[in-house]
Amino acid sequence: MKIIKMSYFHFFRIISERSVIFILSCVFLIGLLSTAMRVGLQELGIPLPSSNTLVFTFQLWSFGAFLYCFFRASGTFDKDISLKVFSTLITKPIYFWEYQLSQFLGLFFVYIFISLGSILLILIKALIYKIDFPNLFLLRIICEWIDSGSMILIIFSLALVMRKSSAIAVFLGVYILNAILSQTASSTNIIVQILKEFLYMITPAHQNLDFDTVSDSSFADMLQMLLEYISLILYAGTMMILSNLYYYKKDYPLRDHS
Amino acid sequence: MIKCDQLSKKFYPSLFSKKEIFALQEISIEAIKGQTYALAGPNGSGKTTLLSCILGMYHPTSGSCSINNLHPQEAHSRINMGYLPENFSTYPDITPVEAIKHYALLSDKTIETSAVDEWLTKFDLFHERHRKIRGFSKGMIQRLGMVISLIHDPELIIWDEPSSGLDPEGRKLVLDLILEQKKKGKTIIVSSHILSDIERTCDHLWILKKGKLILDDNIHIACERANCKTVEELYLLKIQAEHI
Repeated sequence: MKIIKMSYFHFFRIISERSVIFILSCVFLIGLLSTAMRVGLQELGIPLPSSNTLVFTFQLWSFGAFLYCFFRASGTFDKDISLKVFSTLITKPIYFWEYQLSQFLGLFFVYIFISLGSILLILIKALIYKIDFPNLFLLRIICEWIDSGSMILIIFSLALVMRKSSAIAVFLGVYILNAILSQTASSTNIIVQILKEFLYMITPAHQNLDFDTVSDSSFADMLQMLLEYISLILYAGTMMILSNLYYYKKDYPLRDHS
Repeated sequence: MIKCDQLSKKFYPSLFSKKEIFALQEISIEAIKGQTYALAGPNGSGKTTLLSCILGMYHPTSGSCSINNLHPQEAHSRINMGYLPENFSTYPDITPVEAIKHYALLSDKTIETSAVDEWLTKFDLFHERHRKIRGFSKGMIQRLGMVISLIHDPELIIWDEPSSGLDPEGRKLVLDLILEQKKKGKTIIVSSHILSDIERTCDHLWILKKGKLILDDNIHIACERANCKTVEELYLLKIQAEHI
């Protein structure tokens, strides 16, 4: 319960920043204005966008939210230590893992909050454009969200304990690895397959599922997605436990002893 | 309440350096419930390091430390503790009310807004309660730190140089607060360079020099024994006499 309240505090602290409110409001208003413009342009013979265009808008928004939360997350612990916020926090009756988990959840709630904004916008657009709503469209959006959400879990857990530069390096590494693994997805070479499975195990890279055809997905595909999601959560948990052990064994660098 | 036994702490300036810095050397001290302790010593003598070991922020190289017979790194050992660091700092984008409520929550206490307002009035921060901490002066942040260290009514209060950055009025507030908490029977440990304040408020004095404990005695007894009229005299006598 304490962790949830602490997470809410971190969530609220980030969301109540003027810059965040300003950027979110601007993006939302621009989104609504563009919708109005497209409807207006319809009279000039320009057709309204399809659901695919809206999914792309959602992906773009999600990526922006992800980037924001990622940069916000990276170096959090180091910043708290260097700002000496940590020295007061750690003398309260909380464990380091509680502090760590609350920061992580706080940022994850921020990501969900921003994503909910995009879902709202997309749904408004879908209503105005009279796109097949809500059955298929809503399902596709939720699947897209889960897909990027799983990645967020991993990256946040890493970014929190890393300095900004290291976090960026890991972020790029994971995406490059992800791209390589996608390319080798259809390979029949046994060595490539073994290497691929090994990389899946040791890295947070995940398989690219095609959610555009989610309505045609079989139960096995959905199960695979679910298992992948659970494994990614476990991976994030392992990362957090390892980083917790690292900090537990370390003196908090409250002063520069050099 | 607090017991340190043969506590030593050494640092290495860098990861591959063989040079050792002895911050603390075999410190054995005990703090009893209801007493007020002063921790004095020149700059770099190990005062903050000792407090950091007591608070579980540093792992001792050798020896041990306990709070109510619990290891300092056990979260439960810190449940009744209020700590004010040398330079208190908190998240800059929140208001003092949010900060106080958050830190009280971490100490398992829920504080009503009216109680927060009372504390803020006492520390002359009431009119700033809706302002972001980012715009606060050093003294205001330090006073907020004091509120945070006392809001959950802790049994053990540890203040590391509480008067740093405070004006004379703020310094008087610190003195009054120590005396008030002392009356309530709280255990207080104060690290300070202001020896006249120590003389007025504390019962017991610990003096550190280059990581070694050179005095651990009741202030009045130690003054009588050394034939000194003030704590300042006693301090200078001890610091100059000990050739470490």
